[in-house]
Amino acid sequence: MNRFVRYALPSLLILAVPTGTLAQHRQGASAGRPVSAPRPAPQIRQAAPNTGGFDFSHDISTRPPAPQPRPAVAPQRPVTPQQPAPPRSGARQTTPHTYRHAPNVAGTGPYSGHFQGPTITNPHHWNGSWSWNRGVVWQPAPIYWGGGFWGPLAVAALSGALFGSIVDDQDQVIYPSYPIEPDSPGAQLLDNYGLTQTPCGPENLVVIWGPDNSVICAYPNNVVSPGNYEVDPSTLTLVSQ
Amino acid sequence: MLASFVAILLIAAISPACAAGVTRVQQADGSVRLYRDVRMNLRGETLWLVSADHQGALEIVNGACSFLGEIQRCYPTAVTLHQHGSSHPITLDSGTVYLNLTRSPVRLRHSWRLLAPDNVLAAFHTTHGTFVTVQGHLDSVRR
Repeated sequence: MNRFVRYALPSLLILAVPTGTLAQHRQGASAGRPVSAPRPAPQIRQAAPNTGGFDFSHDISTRPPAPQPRPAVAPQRPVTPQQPAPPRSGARQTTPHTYRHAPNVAGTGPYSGHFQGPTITNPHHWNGSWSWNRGVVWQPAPIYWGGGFWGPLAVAALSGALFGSIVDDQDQVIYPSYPIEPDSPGAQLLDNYGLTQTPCGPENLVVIWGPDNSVICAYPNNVVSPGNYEVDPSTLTLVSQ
Repeated sequence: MLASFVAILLIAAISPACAAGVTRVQQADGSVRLYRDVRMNLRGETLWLVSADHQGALEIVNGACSFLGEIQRCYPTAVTLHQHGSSHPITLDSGTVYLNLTRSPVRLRHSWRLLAPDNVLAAFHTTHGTFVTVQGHLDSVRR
């Protein structure tokens, strides 16, 4: 009996795989099946020594993989009838100097290269680059909103969690904002500055542009006044415009 | 391509024989496969999982690593399956990797679970609906 369990049973399970898989496909294809029907418990199959590596047959099919989201590019949609875009330099001059508009979308983020105002020192006074992250360089993870700076919010799954947005009327770009996750570097940034996140949209908020065109908003306080700020991830500081 | 396989062979060769990682792969159709004795190696922020038969290796590239207390948390950004002489990119939906690189067990925040020293706990979800969990002791760490 022991020999049967050890040798014959795994072989039978392996032989049964195609049949079971086909059966599940047929079940999934039946149109009359109620959506709420209980799903059979997953069949756990112990990987036999001779199966040859990992089975990712569903993921490595010959079909081209689904296109990866590009968080570096903000979702774009027309907000006004199409008009020729004015030159950027002129556009910045005519645009009111307010955080509600992101006049520059080129490069790695809106206002890229335009945050040349004073740095608001992090009240926690981190001692040197990346000291807030124990010396480990933080690098954005591209499939997450803000590169993961604000938490593990996958770009592909963000549609239902909108937390306001910043509209750039000139370039017809909407920068969505989402609730940041506790324990994220972004949450640590807000905590250090004593800021509280609020949905973007209203005026006179602190608007913080993070990695990969991400943006969040917060109520101003006695440390940070309303306006646009850029995050310097190496020092976890805010740089004003 | 050749460099990848050379890297896999090297990683497998220098790993101790006491691989004790467990990888669970649940396909979108509900079927589950459990892989035991998986060798797990950390190279920089990349986690390598080598199957017990050395026939396949999963390369999990991480980013956005930060600390939750003593636990390091990273987010996988790319997964590649190196197997049968070719490399297959696996498109990711999302995931999280927890690493305890300290010398003492650490409790995961908001969880009852303790993560032992040099242990990894990871989960990721692919765009094709495959759900993968990884746990166990790292056979080698090179930062």
